[in-house]
Amino acid sequence: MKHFLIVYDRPKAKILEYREFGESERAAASAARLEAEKRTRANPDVEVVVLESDSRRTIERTHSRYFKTFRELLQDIRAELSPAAR
Amino acid sequence: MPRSLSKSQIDKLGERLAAPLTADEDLDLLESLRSRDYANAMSSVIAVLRDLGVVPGDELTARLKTNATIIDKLRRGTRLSSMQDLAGVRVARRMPLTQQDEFVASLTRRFSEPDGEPRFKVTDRRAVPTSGYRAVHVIVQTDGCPVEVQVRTYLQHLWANTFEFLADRSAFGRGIRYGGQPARDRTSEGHSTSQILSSMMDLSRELAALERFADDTPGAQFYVEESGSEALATLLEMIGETP
Repeated sequence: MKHFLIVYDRPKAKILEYREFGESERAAASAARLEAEKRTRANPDVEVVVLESDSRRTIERTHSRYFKTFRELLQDIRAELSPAAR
Repeated sequence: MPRSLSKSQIDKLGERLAAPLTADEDLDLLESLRSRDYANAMSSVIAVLRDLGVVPGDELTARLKTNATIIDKLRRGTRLSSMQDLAGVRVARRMPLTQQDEFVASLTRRFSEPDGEPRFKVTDRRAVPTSGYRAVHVIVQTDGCPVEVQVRTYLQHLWANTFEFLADRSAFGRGIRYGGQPARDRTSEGHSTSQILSSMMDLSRELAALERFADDTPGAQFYVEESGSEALATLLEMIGETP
């Protein structure tokens, strides 16, 4: 499993920082997260998270709110209900 | 591997962290608890899920709660030792409800002792959704740490992501996740927030009904194809998208 650091501005729906770390780099990812948390501590609107997954593609789907607009998220639901999804 | 701090040591740490001024050494202690004990527990649970047949294509992502969120929750009165979602794993899979039940049953079997206390707790948010959120959450205990596993069908998952997106926007606010009203009347695009929220609740109910119907009725995909979802059509229309 790889590690993905995301620093996200919630109200602006904007990723401020994105970094990928390899399977053996959990400690480095944690250190980068801690550093980002200290840097953004004063701003409660900023979320700092490290996700652990097999690929960027997977986190784009499991945590699509960081990557997509409201319109795109609704379109995903519509696509899932269409016969082509089945 | 047992947890490196006892329950009372963890709670004392939580009390110190909840104080207005946080000492650096306590932050370091929390960091070490998170990144050692809870990260190891999370890895053990991921291994169990892989063993249960979670494969690439199913969607599995793990995360540890951030220090800021933990401290925020401590300041709202939660005890550190009772926080069940410090470590979390999310599994989303295209599956009918019966398969979701089977998956949860296989998972809990792995955390059952023949003669001992079960090392899991299941919360079925499909039966009683929380602000429209449906999923099955299983808290499993491993290496002395709780790990929250969110088991979602793909439709439950897509709805949850869309709702979370709204909760991040300042016009709605995080309070909508706990049944609160939107923070403002309108979005920056001029849409009514209460109308969007109400349609999201309708959508949750409609998707639940579709999933139940698909589970009970062979060939149910034709129903989904023909009738679609009224709430989804309303939401798409609201943002100017042709349904």
